[in-house]
Amino acid sequence: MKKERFSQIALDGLVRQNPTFRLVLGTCPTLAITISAINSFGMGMAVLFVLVCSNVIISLLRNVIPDRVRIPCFIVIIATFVTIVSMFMEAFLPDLFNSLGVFLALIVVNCIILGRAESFASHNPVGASALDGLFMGLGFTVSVTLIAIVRELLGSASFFGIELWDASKFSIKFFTSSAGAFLTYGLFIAIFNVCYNAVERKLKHNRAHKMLKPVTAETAKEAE
Amino acid sequence: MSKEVKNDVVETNEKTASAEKAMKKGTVIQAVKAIAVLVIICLVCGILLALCNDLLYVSDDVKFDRAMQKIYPNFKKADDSPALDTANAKTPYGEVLDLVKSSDGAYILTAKSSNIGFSNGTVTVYVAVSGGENPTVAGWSIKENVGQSFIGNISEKHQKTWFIGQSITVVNPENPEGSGLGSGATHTENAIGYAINAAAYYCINVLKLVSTPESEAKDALVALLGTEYDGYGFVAVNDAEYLEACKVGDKELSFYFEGTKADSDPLAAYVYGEDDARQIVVVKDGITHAERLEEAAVVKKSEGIDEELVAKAQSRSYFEYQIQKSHAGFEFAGMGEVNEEFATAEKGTVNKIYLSTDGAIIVEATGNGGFMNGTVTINVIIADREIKGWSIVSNTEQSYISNIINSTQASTWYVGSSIDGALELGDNKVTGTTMSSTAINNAVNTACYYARNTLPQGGAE
Repeated sequence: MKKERFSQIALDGLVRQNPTFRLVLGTCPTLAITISAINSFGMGMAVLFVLVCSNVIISLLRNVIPDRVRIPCFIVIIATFVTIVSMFMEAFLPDLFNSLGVFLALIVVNCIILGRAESFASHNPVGASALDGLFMGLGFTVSVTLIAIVRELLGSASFFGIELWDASKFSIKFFTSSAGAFLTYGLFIAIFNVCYNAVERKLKHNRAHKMLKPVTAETAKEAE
Repeated sequence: MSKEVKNDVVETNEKTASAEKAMKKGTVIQAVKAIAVLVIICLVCGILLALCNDLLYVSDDVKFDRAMQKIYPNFKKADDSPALDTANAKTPYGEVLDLVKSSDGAYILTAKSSNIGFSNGTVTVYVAVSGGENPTVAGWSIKENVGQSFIGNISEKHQKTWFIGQSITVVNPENPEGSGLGSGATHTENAIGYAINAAAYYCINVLKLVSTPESEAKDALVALLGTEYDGYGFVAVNDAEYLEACKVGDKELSFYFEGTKADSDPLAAYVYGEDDARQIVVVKDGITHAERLEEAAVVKKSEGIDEELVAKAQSRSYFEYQIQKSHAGFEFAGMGEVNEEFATAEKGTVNKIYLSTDGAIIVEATGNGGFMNGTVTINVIIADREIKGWSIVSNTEQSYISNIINSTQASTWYVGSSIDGALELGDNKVTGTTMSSTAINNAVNTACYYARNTLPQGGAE
């Protein structure tokens, strides 16, 4: 795979098409599980695993799966991996499994996974699909973990479950509530998009600047 | 139409039909292929999941052990885990719903508080009690609750610190509410304290994890009575003044128990001394039957018991003591006849009337509206158209009545109140016994209704 293609997929997953901040997909788990950074990271890893595996399998079967049954097929494949993740967590990470609760099973209907299967994996080769799954998953994981870090810090005075100071002395319980989740999420989307647009404008400006030919004596003469 | 044109039309029709047939065939093949692919994917996924399930399956036993290990990290279910003694599962603080023993001797109990939480709700907790010579609360966590809106204020940190390491004999004997823990959810906090105390009470009195002088005395009493008196529920009455009043020479009354059983006469047990020197005498009558205040029949007594102690038990009935404490001039003059016209009030009935030589009366009345629609029967001492005192005689279904019996708050209720008006407890009810308090209030009002209509100077309402 070309280096350019690789960086394009990576940038799409992490920034340009970041599922949480740019596409605003997977909002339910984002709001629900970002109360704790550990939960969010665990959820992110689960989504990453399902995304990579389902993208790979769907990409492999893209020429076999008839168009009219593609959605049921995608759902079956995705549900299989979600169930495997669920079984694994129950066996080896029971605390995380209990914390994530129903949201683990709801990965099946996560828009990010079905969306990538439909729009990317079913049209692209295996390698690219795996990378897409990986970077989309990483984009989701980083996003939800960042939101969770802020909420946990302000709401519970802890960082990944480690108490930083006495929460009874200073903590803003609002951030642990649903309304706090909406506010934090909204602020993150705003900040991310402001930064993204600023960087993009600057890049466009630089590109345009490069395209302009420098004015020399010869070109000026030609113009005359 | 010429023959050639006709042939062309026929040929075209045949071609169209053939194309349609081919298309239909193609569609069917596509549909079959689609279904086949879907079925194959389902089958492969099913096989994969079956394999994973085989490798990663977590059994119910493991799940249970894990849940318990959260509360007590060393938990491993013991083979000799005892069954819950449902007959003794109700305690003055709440009810024990389940218990399981760990292989290292610890117990994990599921205990539910009485209805003292927020909005009279309950909290159910898991409580781990360590084994050994001095069992302590090793851990607890909230299982579920009813109507505790602020249960979220009880954080994991609270669950790791409150009560932990406290001996089950002193979890909070005086103040199970555990007030001052400062969670911002006081009622819920109280309910948690009650549930933990219920577990501790069960460990002491049923599992016998630790012996207290009271539990030892109770065991000795039950042993003395034998199987003939099975089913009696004994409650220690911790009335220091009464214990002092029952002193015989230098021999102090260690414990006074009252025992009740459905459809049986109540018993009173007097326990003097401890260990080998312990002497017990159990009497009936003399507790609630004022006709025989000084002739309480002896049911059982320790071998070689000091006869002075027996005589004291027969003569110093708690009933008589309570009456005289409330109204020193009371001297039993016989039973009065119940005036049937005023014996039944809206929320209770009058059963008996005891007369005193000085004109005071004791009205025994039963009040309705208790816990589980049960009743409470009480004696109300009335003199000079005023309530001088009252005491509980018996009850039905009132699991937490001992909270009232042993409450100093309840002992002041109604004393000095006139019988000429309706009496209300308002917020002065004993926490956790709202329904029983209501039944008592109904009984007191029934007695007052009877007295104001039958005593001199009182006209019929």
